[in-house]
Amino acid sequence: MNIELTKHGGLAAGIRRPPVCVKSSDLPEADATELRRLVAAVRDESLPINAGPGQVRDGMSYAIAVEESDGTKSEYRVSDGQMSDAFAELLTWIERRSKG
Amino acid sequence: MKANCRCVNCITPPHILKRLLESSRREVREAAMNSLLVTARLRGERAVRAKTFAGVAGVARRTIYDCGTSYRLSSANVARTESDGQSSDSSVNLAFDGLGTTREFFREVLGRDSIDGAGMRLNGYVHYGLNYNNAFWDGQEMVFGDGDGVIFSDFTKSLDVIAHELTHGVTEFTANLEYHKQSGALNESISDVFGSLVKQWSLGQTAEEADWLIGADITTPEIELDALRSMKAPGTAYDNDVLGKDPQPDHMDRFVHLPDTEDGDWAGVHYNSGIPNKAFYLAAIGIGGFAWNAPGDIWYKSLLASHERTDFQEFAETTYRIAGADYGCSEQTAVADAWRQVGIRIAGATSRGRNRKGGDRDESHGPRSESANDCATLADQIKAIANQVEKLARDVKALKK
Ligand SMILES: [Zn+2]
Repeated sequence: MNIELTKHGGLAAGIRRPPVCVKSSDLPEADATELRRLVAAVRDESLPINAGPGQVRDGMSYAIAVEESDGTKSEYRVSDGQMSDAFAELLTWIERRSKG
Repeated sequence: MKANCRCVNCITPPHILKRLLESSRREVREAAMNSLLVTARLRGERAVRAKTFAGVAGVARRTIYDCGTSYRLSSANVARTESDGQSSDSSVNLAFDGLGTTREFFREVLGRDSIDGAGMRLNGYVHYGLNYNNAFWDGQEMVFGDGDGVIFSDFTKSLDVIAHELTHGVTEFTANLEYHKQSGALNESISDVFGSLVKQWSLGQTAEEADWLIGADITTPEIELDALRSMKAPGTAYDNDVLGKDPQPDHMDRFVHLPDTEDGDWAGVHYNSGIPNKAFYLAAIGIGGFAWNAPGDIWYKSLLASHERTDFQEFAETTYRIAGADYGCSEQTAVADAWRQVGIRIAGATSRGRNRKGGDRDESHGPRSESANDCATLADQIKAIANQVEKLARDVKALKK
């Protein structure tokens, strides 16, 4: 499973933000299992449909692209101001890894 | 020439009256005060009343919440209220104090009681998300990240960033500028303008002394960048391999066209705000002195006179009209010059040819036009009359003796 996190917008919308990539094959088995669990939770969650900025100003948006080992692709998108529990958990997990 | 300066509308411009208020002669001060009170009463203007009669009832109460690196505001804990002393957490204190300074600025300088003008509570959330390189307004509250420590540090460190977010609330409760395309870029610019003014006001800086940077205090030693943006020189805040080059334009010729989507920053609201930002900076330098006085007042009144779809051109015309109606020829000319230098022409506006501080000159414009000369002449005449009033007051006092 390959994961790619892309961030857009916010106060610093103009800065370059390369995507963060995580490959489950590079992870210890326990971490790979945890990642699969987090992605499954996002998949099971009904994410809010984002039609416009609403009243959020300077909010960031997040896109997490998932490619399964069988080649199936899916993408999940969320913005500040309408963050979901499962997405927040996956986002935190990726941030913690990309920092470490 | 199609139009003349509108300063003929008022006999003594308020800024001259204000200067007369500081006169060492009591008679001059009293005459000026009477005139100001009459003007204020006639116009019924909130800002003038607030400034003249000092103080607005009610204090918007602040509450700071700690998200503890969570992305969920609902799980945040109360960290400091108005009844608490200093917290051991510096982000909590910075957010608390920053919101307080911004609240005071709006109250004392612009006569506005909090975000909604009616003492709305100020809720700030700190430590939002993990390594979160941002701050935002969610329609009800202000949210600040800690930064990742590489590109940015704690977003509560920059007073202008705190004031920027609170100002999004003020805009929402006033013009409610739609957050895309030009109205969105104007929305962003309004937040930068008052964000910077709050900082300048708290530091007691003149337009010349101010750095006009947004977010200069959230940078880190790791990466070379001055700030998030520069209002004085849009497009120059950073230029390095990690972040790329600051993409803000400073002129309509370089207006950035992006898709009206989330990924396109809603057609570049954080990009094209550079154009009205530069116009405000130029107007403030052109007028001179403290930028929160005439320039800030003109921009604030223009915000109140705007609507959801106000674009750059309409906003520029509003600032020009208000500068003429409430201030004088020199302010109005400075405003027109400022917009002209970023590529926005106001119909009927005159130019004084060159910006007082020698900014960019539009070569298509000739030397001082006839009606600009009229303007300057009128300003000189007003000054002469003010001097005569002062002399007259001296004579009257001498006669009384
Ligand atoms: Zn903003």
